[in-house]
Order: sequence, then structure tokens, then C-alpha cells
Amino acid sequence: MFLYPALTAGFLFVAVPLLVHLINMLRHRRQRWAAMDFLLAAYRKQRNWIFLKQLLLLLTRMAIAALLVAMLAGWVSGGRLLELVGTRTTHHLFVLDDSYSMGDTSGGGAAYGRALASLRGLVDRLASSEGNHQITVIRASRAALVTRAGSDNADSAADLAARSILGDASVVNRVLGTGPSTLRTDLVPALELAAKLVSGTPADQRIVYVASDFRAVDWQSPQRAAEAIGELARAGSTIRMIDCAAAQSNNLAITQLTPQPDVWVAGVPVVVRATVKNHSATTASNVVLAARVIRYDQSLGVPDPTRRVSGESETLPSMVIEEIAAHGEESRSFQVYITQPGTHALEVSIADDALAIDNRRVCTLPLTDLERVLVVDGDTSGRGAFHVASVLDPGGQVRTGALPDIQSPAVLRSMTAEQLGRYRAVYLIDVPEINDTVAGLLREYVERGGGLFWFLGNSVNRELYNRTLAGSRRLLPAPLGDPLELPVRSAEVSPDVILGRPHTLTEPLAPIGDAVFSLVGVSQTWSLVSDEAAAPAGGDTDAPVREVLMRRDGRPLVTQHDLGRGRVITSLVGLDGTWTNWSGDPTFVVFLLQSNAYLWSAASPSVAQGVEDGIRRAVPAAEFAPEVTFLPPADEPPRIPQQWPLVGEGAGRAVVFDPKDMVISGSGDVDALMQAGVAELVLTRLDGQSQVVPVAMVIAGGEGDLRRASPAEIQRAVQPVDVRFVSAGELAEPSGGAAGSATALVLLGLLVLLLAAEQVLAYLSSYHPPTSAGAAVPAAALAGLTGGGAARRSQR
Amino acid sequence: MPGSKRYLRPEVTDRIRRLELSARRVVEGFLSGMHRSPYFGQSVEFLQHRQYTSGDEIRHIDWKVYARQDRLHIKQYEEETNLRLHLLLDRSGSMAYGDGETNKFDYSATLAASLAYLALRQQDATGLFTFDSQVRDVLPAKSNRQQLTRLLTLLQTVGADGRTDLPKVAREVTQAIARRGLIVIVSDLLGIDELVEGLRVMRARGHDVALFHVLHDDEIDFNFSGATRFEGLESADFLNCNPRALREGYLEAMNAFLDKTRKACGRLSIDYMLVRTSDPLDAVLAKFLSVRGSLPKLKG
Repeated sequence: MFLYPALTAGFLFVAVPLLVHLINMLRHRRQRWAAMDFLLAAYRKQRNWIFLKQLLLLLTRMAIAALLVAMLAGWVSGGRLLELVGTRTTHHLFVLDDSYSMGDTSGGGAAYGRALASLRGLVDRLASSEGNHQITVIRASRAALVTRAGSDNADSAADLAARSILGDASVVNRVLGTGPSTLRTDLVPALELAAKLVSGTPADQRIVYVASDFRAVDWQSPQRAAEAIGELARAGSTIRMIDCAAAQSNNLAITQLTPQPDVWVAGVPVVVRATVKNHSATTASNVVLAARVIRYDQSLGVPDPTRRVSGESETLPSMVIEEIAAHGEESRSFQVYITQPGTHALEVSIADDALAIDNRRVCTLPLTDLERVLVVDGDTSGRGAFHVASVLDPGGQVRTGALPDIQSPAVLRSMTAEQLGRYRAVYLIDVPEINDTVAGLLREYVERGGGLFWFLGNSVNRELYNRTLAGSRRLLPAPLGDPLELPVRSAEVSPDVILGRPHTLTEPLAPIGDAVFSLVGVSQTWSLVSDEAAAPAGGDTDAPVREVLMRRDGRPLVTQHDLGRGRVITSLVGLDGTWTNWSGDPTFVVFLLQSNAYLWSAASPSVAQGVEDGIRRAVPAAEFAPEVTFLPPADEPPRIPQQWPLVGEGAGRAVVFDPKDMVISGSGDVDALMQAGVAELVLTRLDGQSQVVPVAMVIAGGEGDLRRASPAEIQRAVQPVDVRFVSAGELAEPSGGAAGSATALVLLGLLVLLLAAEQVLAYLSSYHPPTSAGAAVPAAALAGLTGGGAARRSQR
Repeated sequence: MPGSKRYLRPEVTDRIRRLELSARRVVEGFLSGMHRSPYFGQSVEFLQHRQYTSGDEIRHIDWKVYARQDRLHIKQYEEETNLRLHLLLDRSGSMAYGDGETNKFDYSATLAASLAYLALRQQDATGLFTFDSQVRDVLPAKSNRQQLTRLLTLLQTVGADGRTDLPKVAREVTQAIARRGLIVIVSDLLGIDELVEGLRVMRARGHDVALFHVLHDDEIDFNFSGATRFEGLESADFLNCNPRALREGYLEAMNAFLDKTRKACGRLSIDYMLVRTSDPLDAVLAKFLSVRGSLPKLKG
């Protein structure tokens, strides 16, 4: 290739020596001559040699012209020719950090853009260099997905694998069109896969380039990265670190946006909490947090790809965070009130800064209609059920979303799992007996995400409960022990009920402290066999039991533990009023409402998906058609709808999108699908009606901390490997033509040789001017023959 | 001679006069440097006395006669009064090379005229033959006063053209010459086939032969440069070349020719002189006569 192609027109001048030769042949000076015989004799004797010299001289002059033009035009593509004589093969492995922190625009332009420019500059240099060069490019995001999928297939992760660089940099055009990903990842997966690629690709020389912003958070525990770099060095690779980041700027990030665990029911206000973290070393002041709700009416069946979202947006009042301390975070809660059931979306945002991707976050808000809760009271008077029902459904304008269904204990014996599954939570109040069947039913219900609240009064059959509910079933936090009385307290001691370990259930009451229970009296409670309520029973590996409320003497009063996807709350007192008056205390209302929300939230659908987690959503064959349309998030519409097939059959049929699998299989544009924001699934019911369902795609936190690790720290971490740091600009700058290349030196050497040869040939062909004016006639030949010693005629 | 009257136009007579003046200048200049007058021939056989004229050799003065008659008389020998000089002038095309004073034919004609002037001045019979492929012009040898004019006129009317056949010319010349004499050939000897044969023919008849090999400086030195197209003067041959590339080979061939000619003349006892057209004629004559004076007389 030529560095200056326009100058290749100069190759036309190669014909000049030929033209001059031809013109000279036509421009002979005519000379009448008497001694033709001698001239012809001389010519016949030297004809072949003269012709050969003339031909060589002409060819030499043409070659000189061609070489001059080639040098001026910057001919550098000696690679193919040099391959014929067996030149070195150099494998260049380019590890490209495309974690979302590379979108940092500090210093003008994104760090990722600088990384791409350095890649382009490198390939441009290699294209104009001698020797055989191969390029491999691995992006950190793809390597992370491959590794997280449990694979070590480096070829799946590589955008380019040992591709030869021929003539120009077009081989990396596809990579140059990429942008920073939405993934949180360090360089370890890419370095480890790079080590595999290096060892599997034969080459005379290996050079590894690591283009990254070298954030301190990625290099806090550099052991694995150092090990991977060490493996690369042991394979004979030269390591070069390309620093792509500019000066660090301040960065605020929205790290959380979640509806508070509660009853998410249409018509019931939902509290949403947003958290903003300040990754800067300075305090951030007056941070405006904007919010909007995006309503998806259930009648919305057709998405609008020309807009960022298909739902109707409603801007909520902005919130101002007066101050966020350096490296601190602040949360703000706001209420969202939506009357339509269905899945809606929320978005909060702050002003864009150096890293814009974490200045916006979304979540979904799945709102159901009224949900039924089962209330079973073992007391025939129904007193306990009354208390529970009156809290959950106070009547009038107040809606909690719960619709209590009070039943007798006999219902449990005939209830099926399907029937039980229709209840959002189950309240069992002083039920005397629970047989194995019911216990199994309840365990299955809770494991599937149901919520269960025990009120254990004096009617409970302790032995039966311990046999059927405790132990491996773990429906009780622990086997029940003997009822324990609580002595009457004096005025100076704490209330009978005190707060236990901090828990969501007691969040509204915790600020007040134990005094909130000052009017609650407890005379007796069930005890648990194990005093260490945190220890799991029966060998189950579920979460430990937490003491939410305790007796004055430190024994548990109310516990909570998880079972499968569901949650169990156990009150060791009943609601008949014999052991406690708590049901009449206002704290009972607050606690019960909080408990109801907590029990409901166990089965709540996820409100956000990590961008790398993909999507899995059930699309039962009995309800929906077998096609789903997916619209990924896009900052700039239009959004491109994609048709997705379903997997599975019957009730288990689902739409599945897993970027990790897609990277390994090489199917689809993973980058386009892993965008943060509100994606939309379009489901079609069997009656033909479509439904647009939002899906919140969010980034993982951690990349927003833009503090950088210094080159010295990194070099210490990777010792004894010697790595060299270069700036992205050094590689991005053009190499300045063929200066320094061996090809140019070879051409120069050839030119000098040809010029010398041309002079020699010209001298042999007698084109050089004579050195003296006198005749070169041998004096002896004319001795005694000439008639005078007078001056000779001067030469012409 | 009708031709001489026709060629005696004013410009022709002017050229004749200039040629005569040139010849005289050459000879007088030559003679002024000599201590005694040269004779073409010298014989011990006394023939007669004649009155002394300026230029005669002092040693030939008969002092006895002077003593008796008080007038200077010289002795004439038989050869003096019987010297017949035959000039053979090459008029082939190759003699046309050169410009101005260095033109070979003009130079040769001047040389011949000078020799004729010198000889006729001493009342030696002098004749002229011009030749190329054959004898073209013949002027029988005579010693009267008009002979020079006739000779000069003939020289003026002659041009250079054609090739040369020396053996044929030699036979024609020797047939035309009844008595032995001195044949002086003035030629460049270029384009001559069987040169040695031709010279041998002349010597075979007992003639004394002298050869002035007249060549231009260019033909001897070949100092041409630059792309040149050489075109033959006596043939249609041509050659496009870089003359400097061929110089060495040309000189080698020319020197071989000159050497061959010189050796041939030596074997045939022919006085050979290579003359450049740039050489002053008086020096050439002096050299020639000096050579002639040192050589033993050859008898046929």
C-alpha cells in the first residue's frame, strides 16, 4: 500500500527515460564520414556489448525513477513480498475494556472512544509495517458473559481472533462501531481468556495491549488479574497498558430504585425509594432528583417504536437532595399512586455528568387488583380473625389491597394447593391442629412464595404442631416448648414487648423505640425449644430465624423466617386476649399491616432485571399466543422490534433471553439487547388482544466510582511482570509515514545501489565527459608516421 | 587546353593564383629555411654546365669555369635534367571530408601544387593524374613555364567523388608513363581495395614512389561525442551510435590500418608520410624532403 496514493501518478515518469532514449535516437547529429569501414568494424565488434550496456542503463534509469516515486508515495507494503522469504509473525492481542465506566466523558470524549482510536492507530501502524501481523480483539463485556455462563471458550468472546492485517485497518471496522457496554466487569475474564488465546495461537512474537480506564475499584484485589497477566508474560507476551481515561471527574449515580415491600395494589399508594450515591471526593449539593411514572394501560396492545416508551408518562414532583457527602449516599422516598392494575414503570434521573449511564434508573411497578388473604381462626368466636380482618380491610375509603376471607379450620383439610394458591397470604390464628396433609400444603404454598402468619394461642396442640410443622418442614421457627409466663412488670422496667433485631416489620415503630409498646401487656407466650432463634432447625439451609419482637425477658415473642420463596411470621401469642392485649393496641395495626405487606412482597415479581441477566417470563399456552415481540430500550428512537420464539410447553412455556447464551452461540446482537432502560414485551392473548408489558433493565452498580489506580500501583500488583504504560493518544497518532520502516530503508539502499550502477553503466557507455582535451590515441601507434609536430586539431 | 580556358574565369583564375601563391609560400618558406636547394635527384654523371641562378647549391658551382670566364656556372648532372615528377591526386569521395583549410582534397591539392611548384621551379618535368576508381585526368609531365598553370587549372576543376580502385589506377598510370620517374601519391587511402597490390604495380615498373597519406584530425583522433549518425562519403552506409562508445574500437582499427600501410610501404621501399590536414604544409615538405635526402637512391 502507499501512504500517499495520489503520488502514485508519478509512476508515469518511469517512462521518461525510455522516452528520452527514443527522442535521442531521433536527434542524432548527422556526420558525413570517410572512414566508415573502420567505424563499422568497431561497431560490429562491440555491437552486443553496446546493446547490453544501453539496455541495462535504460532499465536502471527506469528503476531509479520507479523507486523514487515509490519512496515519495510512501510504499510500505512489503509484507506480502517479505512473507515469501519467511518473515516474523506477530500476534497482537487487544483487550478492550468496555465496562460502562469507559463511557466516562471527562476530558472531552469518552474513554472508550480513546480506546477505539488507539486500536485504530495500532492497526494503521501494523498495516503499514513489514512482517506478518495478526490481531485479536476481546472486549471485557463479552469475556465476562462467557465466563459467567461457565464457559472458557475464548473464541466466543473474541470479536476478532488472529485475523491477519492486510493493507488497511478495515479488519477492525466492526469493533470500531461498538460503544461502551452496560456491564459491570473488570478485566480478569478478558485477561484469562486472552491467555488461552495466546497459548493457542502460534506466533514469533506476541504483544498484549490492555486498553482500560484502570479504575481503582477494579484493581483493589488484583490477584487474579496479576495471575492472568503473569500467565501472558510466561507465554512470552509483551504487555502494554493503554491508559484511556482522562482526569477524574465527579460522578453521581442512582444506585437504587425500588418500590418498598408492600402491598402493590392498584389504588393503593406505593412508596418508592431512590438512592443517589456520590462517588466524588467533594460534597454534592442540591441534587435534583426527577421522577416520572409511565403508565401502561391494560388496553395498550400496540407498542410505539417511535417513542422511547409506549406508555403514558406522568412527571412527578422533583425532589432535591440538599447534600450528599463525599463518597456517601442519600435516599429519598416518594409515593406513586396508580389506579389501574397492571405493570407500570418508574424512572428517576439526575442531571447528566461525566458518566451518564448511571444518572438514570428504572423499575417496574406491578400492581394487582384486590388480593384475597385467608384468615383461619381456631377460636369459634372468631375474635382473632376479627382483629386481623379489621386491620386488613378496615372498610370505607381505606384500601389496603387485601380482601380477608375468614374461614374455619375445617377448610384447611379440604383445601387444594390450587385453591390455597389463590390467596396472597394465610393467617392461621390459634388453629388447634394441623395435620400432615395441611402441613404439606402449607409448606408447598410458602415455598412457592406465599406468606404465612401464625398466631399461636393456648389452643394450639403443641405436640402435633411440633410433629407436623417443626423439624424438616420448618413451618415453625423451632419446636414449641412449654408456655412461659411473663411476670408482671413494675413501672421501672421495660414494657413487656420490646423490639428485637432490626427488621422491615418494625421499621415504622423502630424510631419510637420500645416505648411504643408501653401499653402492651403479655402474661404468657409459647417458648421455643432452642433459645438461639437464629440457628436453623432440621438441617434446612434456609435463612435463619429472626426475632422481630421479644419479651421483656429476652425470649422471642414474634419471629420471622423465610422458607423457599415465601416468608413465615410466627407470633408466640394468640389473639384471644388471654395471653396478651396486643390486638387492641395501635401497634398491632401497624405491625399487622407491615407484616401483610412483607408477606405479600415475597411473591412479588421482580421490579428490575440486570442487563446481563436477561429475561425470562412465563407465557402460558393456555393464555397467550406463541409469539412475543421484544422492544429493547433505546436512548434514541426508533426502537427495533424483535420477534422471539418461546421455549417450553404448556404452563411452563416462557420467553427466554439470556445474553450469556447468545454470546456463546454467537446468535443475535447482544449489545443492542443489553441496554438499560424500559424494554417492552408484547404478548398476544388467545383472544387476539395484545398486551404491552414493560421490563426494567438496569445496570449493576460499582462502575460509577471513577477513582483510578495509578500505574505504579498496577505495576506493583503485577510484579514481577514488567508492563509498560502508554497513553491512548500515543497509539492513536499516525506513525508519520514510512519513516523508520525497514521497507523505506530497503528502498533507500536499493536507490543508492541503482544510482551507483547507473553511473557505472553510463561511464562504461562513454556518456561521461572526457577527462582531457587531448586525443587518447596511443602515442606509439603514431610514432614516426606524422608529418609535423604542430598543434593538433582540438576535439569537437 | 580548352578546359583551362573555360575554367580561366576570373574566379577560377583567382583560385589558381591563390593556389600558386599558397604553393609558392609553402615552398619559399620551406626554402628560406634551407641552406641549400634540395634536388629531387642527384647523379654523379656530369651532363652540362648552366648558368648559376639564385638557389643553386654552391657546391655544384664549377669554379674552373668561373676562373676562366669570371661567370658562375653549375654542373648539371644527368638525373637532374631527367627527373620526371608524376603527381597522383586522389579525388575519391572520401577526400571531400573536412571544412575549409582542413578539407582533405583542398589540402592534398595544395600539397600537390606545392610539390609541382617546387619541381617546376627547378625545371623538372611534372605531371598530374587525378583518380578515383580510375584515372580521371591526365596532365603529362612537362617542364615548361605553362605547366604549372595547367596543373593548377586542372586542380581547380577537380572535385572529390566516387570510390577508389588503386590497382587499376596504378596500371593505367604506369602504362601512361614512358620513363621512370618519381610518383608521388597524395591520398587518404580510405576505401581503397588492394592498396598494397596497387603500390606494388607502381614499384614493379621501377618508379620511385612516395606516398602522402593525408587524413583529417577527426579521422585520426575520432574525438566525437554525442549521439551521431555517421553517413559514408563513398557509400550508402550509415551508423547511429555514441561515437565515444566506439572510439576505442575505431582507433584500434585505424591504427592497425596505418601500421599495415606503413609496413607495406616499408617493404616496397615507398617513402610514406602520414599527414594531418592540420599540419603546416611547409613542415610536411621539409620532413618529406629530409626523408628523401637520407634514403639511398633506388634503381629500378
